[in-house]
Amino acid sequence: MNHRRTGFLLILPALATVVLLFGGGLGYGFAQSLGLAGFTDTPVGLAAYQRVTDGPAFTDGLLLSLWISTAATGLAVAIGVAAALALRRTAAGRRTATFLAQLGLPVPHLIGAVAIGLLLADSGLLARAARTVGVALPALVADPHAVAVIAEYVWKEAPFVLIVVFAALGGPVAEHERVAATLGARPRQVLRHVTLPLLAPSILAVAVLIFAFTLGAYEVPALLGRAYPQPLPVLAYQRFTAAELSGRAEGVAIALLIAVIAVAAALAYTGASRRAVGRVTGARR
Amino acid sequence: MTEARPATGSRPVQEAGPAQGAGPVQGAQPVKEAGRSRRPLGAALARPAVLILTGLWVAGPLLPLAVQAFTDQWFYPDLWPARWSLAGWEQALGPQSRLAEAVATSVGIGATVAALGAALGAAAGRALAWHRLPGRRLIELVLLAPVLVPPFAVAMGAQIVYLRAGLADSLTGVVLAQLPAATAYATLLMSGVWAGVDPALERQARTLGAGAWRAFREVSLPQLRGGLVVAAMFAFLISWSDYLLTLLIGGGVVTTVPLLLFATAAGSGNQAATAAIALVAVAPPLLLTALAARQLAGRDTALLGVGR
Repeated sequence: MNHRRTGFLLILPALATVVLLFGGGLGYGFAQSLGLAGFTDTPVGLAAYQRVTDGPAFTDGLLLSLWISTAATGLAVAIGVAAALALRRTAAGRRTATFLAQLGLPVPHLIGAVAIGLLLADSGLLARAARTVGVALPALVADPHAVAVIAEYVWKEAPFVLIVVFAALGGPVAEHERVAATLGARPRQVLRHVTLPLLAPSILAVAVLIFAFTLGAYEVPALLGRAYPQPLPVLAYQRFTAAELSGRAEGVAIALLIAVIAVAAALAYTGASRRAVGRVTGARR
Repeated sequence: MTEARPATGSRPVQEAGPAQGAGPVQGAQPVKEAGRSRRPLGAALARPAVLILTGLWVAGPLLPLAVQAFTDQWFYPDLWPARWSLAGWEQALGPQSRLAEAVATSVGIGATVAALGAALGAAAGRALAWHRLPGRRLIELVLLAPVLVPPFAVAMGAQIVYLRAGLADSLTGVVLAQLPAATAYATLLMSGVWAGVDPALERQARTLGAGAWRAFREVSLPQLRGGLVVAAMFAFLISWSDYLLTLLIGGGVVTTVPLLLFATAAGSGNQAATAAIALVAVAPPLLLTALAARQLAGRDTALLGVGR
């Protein structure tokens, strides 16, 4: 009993920090979006949500946000997994790749955005290099497909995927692969039926983290995106800081809708992860 | 014959130090290689190539920054600048830019967030690893919330509260806004570190007459030190990278390095000054990670990827 109380007292400060400073802000924001609190002229109810979702700016922004997050997550996962599988066989390769990837992880996205901007802009290094070999590139920064935004996310997140996959490969994966190979499976069959299914839970988890992060990130599209359509975080900030008072409730409403999508993705992951684990245990038998 | 032969020159990646995280440990066991000697030459060359690509991948986009910061004449479509110059640095460090002030502000906020986050995380991590907690699943879920929910959704909602409490536009307000995410990450990391410490050792110290605090300080703390350094580093980096929370709660009055960088990048069109500020901003994360490489080895460093 006493043991339990000590544990509770130890965790209380951290828990209170998250619940009060994080949950409190979230709850108070929800109240504002419903017109229940704050400096607002929004009537009580779903008016802010109706105003926000009404019109093409939200729909276009939502589609753009989903496109950016899906493309960035897919590319980062594909590149990270491929690099990890290519480098896993030797300890030296793993060590060097992990060190390099670790170096990239803490670089702030804002700096990544500045760097990718210098690289991909109309007068950027890539355009110069392309011109010397006689190729004219289309616009990559502030373009309709948000190429530069996606490129920045993939650049930052692929090393993250690499590290997570290395960690997952440290488990019993190699043993299962050897068993499959001994039983006559070809390398491709081992990859398809043993390695990838065993890695699936980790890959899915990291995909959800990247998807949720990119969905809610502001700096990169604000710097490398175009003025219209704007992805949801940029739209939320614009509404929140707009001159009229009602904008505040609308900004919070968009931010909360992003949070709902991110949490829904996480819940979908939990389901998918359970199914994936089930498949693997089935494959083991 | 060649089956299960250890890779030549392979050794355990991590030094077998104390207080290893309980999270997934990369390269914990050297992966045995089956039939390595029979691999075709192409495969043997592929590995160094992929390794070089990895290095280029990480460093490549940052290198043009280093060139751009030292030139004021780099006309399209030249591949190399026409003239070197320190004009960008003069503007970045000049009296009008306030870069030195911004670095001091960023370091001050970052150090505070790091100290508070690591302390809160160390206490909570011990509880998660060692104690039976009622509602553990819910507690873990709450601690994961800052990872999934975009923090600016919180800051927008909380801004009025900060305004009313007189904490908006203040250093304290920005620290409080950044603290939950830093605490959450530090807790997740420290629970792994605590799980690697044997509770029996503290109990033995208690049996021998040491008080609770002394048992912690002299038995567990030395084993935690590496983990604490990493937790504090994560918390510092989360703070160092933050842009939108600082802008929303600091109101543009609290000018950190990211705020200055964004304003210069978006508003000035001065690429040399932008690159110079970006180099100043990227140096601490790179240096800290390189210096802490030994502490990071074998730890669940993937957290760095989400804790920006």
